[in-house]
Amino acid sequence: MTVTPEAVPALGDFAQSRPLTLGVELELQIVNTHDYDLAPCAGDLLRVLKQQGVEGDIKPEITASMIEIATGICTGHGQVLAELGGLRDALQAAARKLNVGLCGGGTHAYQHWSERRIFDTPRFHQISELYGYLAKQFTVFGQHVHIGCPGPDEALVLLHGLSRYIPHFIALSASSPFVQGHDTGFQSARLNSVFAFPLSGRAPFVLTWEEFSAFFAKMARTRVVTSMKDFYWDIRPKPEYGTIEVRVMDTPLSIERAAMLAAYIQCVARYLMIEKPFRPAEDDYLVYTFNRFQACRFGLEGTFVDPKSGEHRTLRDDILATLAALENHAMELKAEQACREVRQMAETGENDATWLRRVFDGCGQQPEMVRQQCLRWG
Amino acid sequence: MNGAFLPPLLADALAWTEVPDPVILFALTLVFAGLAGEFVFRWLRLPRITGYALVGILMGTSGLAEDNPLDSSAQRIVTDIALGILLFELGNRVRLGWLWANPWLLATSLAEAGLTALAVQAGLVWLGVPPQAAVAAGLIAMSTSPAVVMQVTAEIRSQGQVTERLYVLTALNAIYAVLAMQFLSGWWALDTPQESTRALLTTLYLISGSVLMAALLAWAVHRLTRALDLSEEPGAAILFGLLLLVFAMLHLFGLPAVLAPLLAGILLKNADPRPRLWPRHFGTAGGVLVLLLFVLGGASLRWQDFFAGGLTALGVVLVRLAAKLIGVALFARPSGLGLRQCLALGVALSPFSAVALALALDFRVSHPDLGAHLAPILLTAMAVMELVGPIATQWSLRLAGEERR
Repeated sequence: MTVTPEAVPALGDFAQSRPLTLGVELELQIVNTHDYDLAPCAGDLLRVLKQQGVEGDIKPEITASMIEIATGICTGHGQVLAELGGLRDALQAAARKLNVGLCGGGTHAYQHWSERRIFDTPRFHQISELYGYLAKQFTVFGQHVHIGCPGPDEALVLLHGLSRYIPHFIALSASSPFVQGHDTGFQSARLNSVFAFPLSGRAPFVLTWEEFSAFFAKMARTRVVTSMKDFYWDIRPKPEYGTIEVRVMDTPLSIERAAMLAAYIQCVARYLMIEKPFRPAEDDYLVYTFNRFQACRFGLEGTFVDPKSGEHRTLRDDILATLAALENHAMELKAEQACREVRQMAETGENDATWLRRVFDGCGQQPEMVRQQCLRWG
Repeated sequence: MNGAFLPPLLADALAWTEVPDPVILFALTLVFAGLAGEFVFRWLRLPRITGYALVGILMGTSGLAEDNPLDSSAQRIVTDIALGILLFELGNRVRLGWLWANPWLLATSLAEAGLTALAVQAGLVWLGVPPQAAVAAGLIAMSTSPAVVMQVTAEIRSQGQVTERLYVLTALNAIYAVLAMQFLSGWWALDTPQESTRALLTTLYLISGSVLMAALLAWAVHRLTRALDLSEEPGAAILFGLLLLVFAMLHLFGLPAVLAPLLAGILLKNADPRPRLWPRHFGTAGGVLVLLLFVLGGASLRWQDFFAGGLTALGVVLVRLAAKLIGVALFARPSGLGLRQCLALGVALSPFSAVALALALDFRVSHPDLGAHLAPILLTAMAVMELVGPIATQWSLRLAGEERR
């Protein structure tokens, strides 16, 4: 993945988007109905959907046992839920026709990475060649949420503001306790495989588009990157859409939870944009990886260190405190239902990872657990 | 003893013992079958069973098979368990809910089996085979070899739409073939009024008896899997015992051997949606039995068998392949299959042995004069497909990109 010096790519302009609009992408698992291992049937699903004339954004992903669905530009929780519901139903009908199952979850509990098949496009083969086994190990399934921003500088301020809340999003979405057949002890083990990529982590602390473009130009000159796509950051700007994209979430086990997460992020974004409760600072990132690890490892029970005060509390408490501050914004965005669901999760301390562990303890078999994941999905 | 066909090593061993010792012969059979299987698999990337069958054919042709220490009852035990395992495993891959969700798949199944029966029958009548014999041949030709399908797919660990559909179509066309042959015998008996009631009752008895035995076997395996791990020796031993018992009872009650284990697998899969997993062929012991199944299958053939049916047999093979391809292609699109997958599925359905052989032998017993017309044609077709069928299935699955390595 190199380019000749005369063709150093430019970052391009930050597109216009309506502030606080949102879009959701979900990467789903395709499994067979015999042993519920991953099944390389993305191509078959896409063909059936095309035959049936299904409209909507459904795309292949890097390995043939993943498929990605995406909403259009939505105004709020209700629309996201409706669009995801439509996509899920269409995909589910195609899956039934092909005798495959679909489910959420950040990882497949016992898939073996060496058996994954790279989906047949030049870009995916190129990535596979560059990253080797990492690309196949990267058969993990995430939810991405785009938030519309009024302008490029505002986007960067929002990006660094939202970084404080990244542990919330991780803990609320965590659904990947099992990897390669074993309980990892983590609630979101998926993020550990994202970490392995050289360009993962966080965006550099710059608050203006001018500085950001300068950073990108320097990176591009080193020929390490050619586009924003090469950064696997937790949150990254998406200039083509005029959005920032939050990428730390595991794909939840149901679209209801996916819509809830999107709405919660939207509320936090509105709170940050309108109330400006704190000024993002480079030093906020001192506790960033600690908080992130706690959320991945312990979920809602993890410790959260307040970047401003240095105070320690549980993530559940920090989420409940945040919800109190979000009340008006939830009302404005018609996201009360979603916030009630978040509150319930924070109060019980139970997320999808808890559910998966409970199901596994109940049946003792991972294939049966994956079957129940499929039932929960649709 | 005609030693000209022997591999040199085998000949040396025999010269050394002067009188061929059946046990040594059997031991060498295992060794050479294993070696041949591994050789064709590793260096020629062909299915191992082709190697097993080749060793078997070599033995049969050289007359060595007659010194087999496995007498007919021992052979029967081996082939019954092995075939039972494979049929049971096949049944366990058939989720009936899929046929409900995708009726075009059922249409595909009826089309490929129906077209095969009609085309083979028409072709044989045209070639001057008596119509009644041609009808029987057509029905027998519907069935794809479950043993070959299970073995080849397990060996390359293929997965995907072609593999999944191959399982369903193979299970269904075996059921069609067995049932159709039963009905045919009943139907022919209608010519003599006093026989007709008995014939119909017999058909009914065969079917309900098979279903009952299947339910018993499924129930027993269900209880077994709850209590024991089938990949451990005790579990596997009990399972093999159960299969043998079922075959003994099928034999005792004069029921077809194919239906009960297949239906048992289907019942088990569909009665309880929870995934139920065991190592393929229930572990290594089952694997060795499957190896013997193919060696013995080969050993029952003589080189003359490859020519007895002449061009007619070759015609049957080709017409059957074409009919299966067209049958699959008819509803490929509405059933959600791509062009390449459709071709692969049609070819993958071509193996022709175990079930067909059982049916052909039954037919020869029940209708000696018609059977005499058919035997050489079907036997040659089966002999050819014994070698070509597994390769065809393997290559088509590979072509469809379903090999997992």
